[in-house]
Amino acid sequence: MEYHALHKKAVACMRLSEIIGWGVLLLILGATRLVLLFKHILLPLWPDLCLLGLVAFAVLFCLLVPPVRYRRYRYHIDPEQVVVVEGLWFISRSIAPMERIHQISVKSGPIDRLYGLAQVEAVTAGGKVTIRFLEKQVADEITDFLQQRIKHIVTEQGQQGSEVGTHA
Amino acid sequence: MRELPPEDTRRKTTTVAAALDLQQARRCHFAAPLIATLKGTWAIIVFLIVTFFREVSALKSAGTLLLFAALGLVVLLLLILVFNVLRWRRTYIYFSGRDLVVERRLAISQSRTTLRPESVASINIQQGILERLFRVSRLQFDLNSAATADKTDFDLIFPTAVALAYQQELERLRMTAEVAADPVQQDMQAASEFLVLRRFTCKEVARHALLGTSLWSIFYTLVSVPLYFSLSLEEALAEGVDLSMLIGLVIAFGPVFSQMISPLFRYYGFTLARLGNDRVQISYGLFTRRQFTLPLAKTNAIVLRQPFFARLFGLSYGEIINVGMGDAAEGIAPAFCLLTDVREMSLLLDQIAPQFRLEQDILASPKKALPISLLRYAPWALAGVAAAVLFARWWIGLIWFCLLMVSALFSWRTKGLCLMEDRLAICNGIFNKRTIITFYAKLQSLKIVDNPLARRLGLAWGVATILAEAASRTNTIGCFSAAELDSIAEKMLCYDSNGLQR
Repeated sequence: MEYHALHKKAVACMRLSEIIGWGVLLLILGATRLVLLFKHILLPLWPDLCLLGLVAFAVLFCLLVPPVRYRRYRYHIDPEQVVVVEGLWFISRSIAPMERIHQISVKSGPIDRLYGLAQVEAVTAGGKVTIRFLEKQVADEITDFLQQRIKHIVTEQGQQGSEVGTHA
Repeated sequence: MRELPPEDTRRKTTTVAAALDLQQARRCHFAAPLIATLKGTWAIIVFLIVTFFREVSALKSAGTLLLFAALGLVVLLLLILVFNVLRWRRTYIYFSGRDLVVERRLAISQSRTTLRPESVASINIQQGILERLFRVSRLQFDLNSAATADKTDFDLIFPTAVALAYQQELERLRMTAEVAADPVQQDMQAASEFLVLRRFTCKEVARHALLGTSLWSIFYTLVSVPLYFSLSLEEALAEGVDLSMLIGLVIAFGPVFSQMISPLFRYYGFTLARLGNDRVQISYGLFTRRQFTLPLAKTNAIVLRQPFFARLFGLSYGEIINVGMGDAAEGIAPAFCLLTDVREMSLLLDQIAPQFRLEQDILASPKKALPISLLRYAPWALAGVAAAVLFARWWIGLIWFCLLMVSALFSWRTKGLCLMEDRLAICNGIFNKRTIITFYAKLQSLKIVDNPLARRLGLAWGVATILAEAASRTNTIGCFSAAELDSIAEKMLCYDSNGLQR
């Protein structure tokens, strides 16, 4: 099975997403700590140590994790299936048979747009498989391919249905 | 108690169906807007009544604000009623050729929804206390569609005979379409008799209610009830009962009441019947009588459930996954039978859906998967221990740790997998066991997951999705050997959604 890797821009996009996520969390925790400080509520030393540890962990996470996630992230599309492999510690392989896909959508959030990236969602009746961090042009090409393939499958099934009807 | 569709009623309905011109546009029963208003606003009405009786003196004295608030709620109620009446007046239901049409001609919005009989996944006739008062029935259809799997597509109120006439006409049209599509079925359709397969007695319903209670609700009650009595009883004796005590009582007894008592009323008179060779009819309920008619061709999976206490006695009950049967929004399990033993369950399955029969034994999760299960629970267990040591007592942390480790052990023990030629069975759960049997053709997507330890041991776990309401859509598999999960993926790709091998 031949897998495609993402464009290099994906690393920066992943990193910015992580920085924003961790930033919001640390901002809330930091603000809470400051409020307690100004209210003269004394805490033992360990909450401050935990907060410092969390900041260090967040910095390391934002520096080291995106390149690893980028290397792990792969996708494969053939006439039978869409497969996406992703993860850091837990590696997941999501498979959607082409014949079960009934909706395709292209989405692009603010961070994605900053880097000219988009994500393609292949929706089945039970779940969806998302290929993220794609270049806009690649996302459009994938969408076109999936649409054509699904159209072909629907036409094929329609013909089979009408053959059964004729025999009946 | 009045049964909705026994044989004599069905014969009578056939006469009514013949007499009614279903092609003619008709409105729902005039009670429909009133029932819709009462059901949608019962909380406001209860609040108004309680406030009136409690605060009548306050209203009289100087409670202009209260009076205005009450008046505002009454006006809101009237507005809702007027809207429902207008909607009822402008909504017409009729058959256009083979299709059922629901047409709404409101000034603000106009819609025309067409229902093809062959796309119906379940037909439900429901009669609650309000419907019984007006001698009407609620006719509900659900389509075999992912987009609307969690809600009822059509909900119409008619006089019972008219509702049954619509139900029969839809079933007749659906069968006609299926026979035309598959001539082999023509002989089978000849035998379309109504055959009761199993009627559950009050004792069996009580057994279901008792053994169906979850371990967690028992545990919760064991903790909350003594706590409630220790806190509230002395206060109640001293000061009398107030609203907060009543709320406390509901919180303490609520879960056990809802799990033990409500199934007694809900499943009273549970009857499983076959309609010909291609449909099952399930009916139950004391106050709200429900009747589901399910085309078996639209069944996506069968689920066998064993709550903890039932598991100890080797009992299980079955659920049938047809979109619309027991919509998740209503919180009703789509049960096709109540707790029975293994032998009877297999007999019932043979009678209603032999294609879902388990032909092989279910394989347990391998022993080497136990460390993975323990590791999954370990972070929560250790976090609990740390929190207990820091903020409470160390022994609370120890209890928490032991509880999570026992859960990990049960979770590993409960996992099971059976791969057959065209279908598979997946077991999961912790104390309650859930076994889903479905076809590879019905799987919509599959996610296979592993981590470094699982990779080293050659194991993986996964999540398979099927077309069902939210509660049954995702099904966790494993841990099992990575090769077995790959084999599920391969077989899922081998079959198309019509069940044909490619």
